[in-house]
Order: sequence, then C-alpha cells, then structure tokens
Amino acid sequence: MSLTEACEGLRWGAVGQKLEQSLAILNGVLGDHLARTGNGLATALSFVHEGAALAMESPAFARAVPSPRPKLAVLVHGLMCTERVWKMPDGSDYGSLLERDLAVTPLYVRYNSGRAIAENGAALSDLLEALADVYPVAIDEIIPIGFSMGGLVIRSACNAAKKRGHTWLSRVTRAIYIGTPHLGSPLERAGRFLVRTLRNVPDPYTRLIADIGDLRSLGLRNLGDGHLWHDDGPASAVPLSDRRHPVPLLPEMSHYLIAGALATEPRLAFWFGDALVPLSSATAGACAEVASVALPPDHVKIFHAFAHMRLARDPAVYAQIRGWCEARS
Amino acid sequence: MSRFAKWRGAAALVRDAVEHGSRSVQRIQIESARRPFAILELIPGVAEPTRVVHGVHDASVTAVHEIIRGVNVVVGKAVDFALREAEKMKDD
Repeated sequence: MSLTEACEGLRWGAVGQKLEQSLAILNGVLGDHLARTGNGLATALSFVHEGAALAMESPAFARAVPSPRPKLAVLVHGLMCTERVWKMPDGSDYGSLLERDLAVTPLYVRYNSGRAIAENGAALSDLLEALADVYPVAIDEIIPIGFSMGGLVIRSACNAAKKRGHTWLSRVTRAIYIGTPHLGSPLERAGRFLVRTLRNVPDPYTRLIADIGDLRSLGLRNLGDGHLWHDDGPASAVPLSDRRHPVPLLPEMSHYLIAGALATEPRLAFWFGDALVPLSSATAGACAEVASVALPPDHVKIFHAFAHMRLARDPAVYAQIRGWCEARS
Repeated sequence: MSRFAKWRGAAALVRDAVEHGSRSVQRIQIESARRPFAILELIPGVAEPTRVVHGVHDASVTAVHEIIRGVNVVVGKAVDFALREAEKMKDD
C-alpha cells in the first residue's frame, strides 16, 4: 500500500464532524499560532456549505444556493465552534428556519476563532464586500447574526467596513447578537489573573503551568475585555453607544441583543448570566444601566434558565430572532 | 485546504510541541538543580567539585535537549517531504 493510499485509507472525510469540531477547538486555543506559522490546520474565514468552504465564485454560489433571495442572514459562530453549533436536534437551525419562514437565504461563516477578533472582523468585512460579485441576485439586505464571539466579530467587521468604506455595510439595517460578551468575559480575565499569579511564584514548575496558560490564543485573550480593534485599549469605561468608544454599536443600524440567565434569582442571574457570559456583558450593560446603551428595551431579550450553548439552538430564541427580522428596521 | 496540508499541519504542530516542550523541560531541569547545587556550593571543601558537577550537569542537560530538538527538526522535515511527495503522486 502506498503512502497516498494509506492517507486515503484514513478517510479524512468520514471522520467528519468530530474532526471538524476538534479542529475548531484547536483553532480556538492555538489559532493565532497556526495562522502565524502558516499551519495547514488553521481555518480560513469563509462561507461554508455542507461542511466545506464555499469558493467565492459565481458557479459555486449558484450550486450552493439554488434559490437565492435578495435578503441574507449571515450566521457567525462563537469561540471553538463551527457552524454546527446552530443545529437543533431536528436538523434545522436559525438560518434554515428563517429561509422557510421569511424567505431569507442563510449563509454560514466558519473562521479561526483563535485569531485576533480584529483580524477576523477585517476578513469578514472583505468576504462580505466580495459577496455582491458572486451572489446570484442583487442583495437588498444582510442580517448578521452572531453567537458569542461571533457577535464581536460582526461588530468588528461593521467597524472595519465603515473605516474602509465597504459598500455591504449600507445593506445592514439590523444586527442580532446572541450571548455575545460585549463587555468582555470575566472567565478569561480570571484565567489571566491566575496565570499572572502563577508566574510570580518563584518555582519552575509553577512557571511551566503559567507558560502553558499563556499559550492561549489572541482570540481568547481578546474575549476577556471585548477587544475588537487593533488600537482598542483596555476595557473601556465609555458606553458602547458613545461615539468615543473604539468600536461602538454603529448608529446606522438597529442592534438586537439576546442574553441567557441560568439562575432565576436576579442577583445571581446578573453576575453569572448564562454560566459563561454575565448578563451585563451580553446585554452590553443594558440590564444594569439602560440609559448607557440607548437601546430600546424591546431590542434586548433575556432568556431565563438558559445556558450559553442553548442560546444558539432553541426554538424560543428563534421565535425572538424571527420577530426582530420581521420588524421594520 | 487539502487533506495533505492538514496532515502537514498536524506534523508541524507536533514538531512545535516537541520544540516548545523540550525548551520548557530543559529550563525546569536546570532551574530545579540550581537550588541544591547553590547550597552545596556554599560548603567549603565541597564547593569546588560541586561547581564542576553543576557545570557538567547543565551542559549535559542542554546537550540532551539540543539533540532532541535536532532530531525533531530532521524527522519533521522528513515527514513534511514525504507528505509533499505523496501529494504530488496523488496529483499525478
């Protein structure tokens, strides 16, 4: 048996979903290193169709999107995920349901979640700018829907588009963020503190543990403070709605925020949120200080007894998304 | 990205891990030994031979890890070459 046959024998495709999930986790943890060293395991940001990257060519799009609609939903997954994070037990997802109910064509993005959020945002902006050339029909509206880190990538992409004068931004009238840590993730900040503490212990073994902790990717580190742009400073006290914020919620579009809260007791819900993202971060401060965000109250929805991952695939969340997509922006 | 590129990526990742791991273990071995050697080096009569042993210890640890990293580079390049050739054969 030749080496080629041996490689074929391992049936890369058949290993399928578990392998893709493993690669997504690997990219989330070490993705910046993989991208920097040109490693073949690094995921390139692209639209995906049936698990494979979609070539940005008209014939490929015509095959992948047989019934293209002028209204698009662009779904962006979170840290260490793939587009499969959206799949509900019955095989549907928010994209396919929006297509069925509102004639919105879903496009799923896959990306290396370990790269800096700013890099992914810029790449997403470029991808969306190129979309108009290959999409089979004229695009009327693009609805970005981001889960967890995906929401930060969308915000970064919108701001990159604004800075670069990309035309796709004019087709975005609303953006939906699901469980997105707009104000950062305290878990990452706790990890950072732990690593710093371990590094200060004068013991080689403890420093080794700190070294391993420091291997975590730029994407993960960015998540700690919600850093979205290269010149984005440390966690800013400036409200997201404020133009002085390095990456504000753009006033040109409507922003809709979904948050989960595991606990029913308000104080616990506020601090622990959906177990990964606190309510204050997922609602960009809305539940603490509504005036600081300047979002209409009906643009923020909190789902109680919801853990983080459930937000990406639940019929009740879909109903809310559908309602927002139906609303006039 | 082709599956061969992924295989090459996996091989490169293992190579990086061995390189990084070897440097960390080398540092730990040298730092861990430094403390007892430092104590012995304070004792008159034992200090001088201890300094010699300490130097030999550090040199041998460094040499062992240099060899590990050298072999790692050679094996890594060989695997990379083999995968590139396999990819060419498949393309042909």
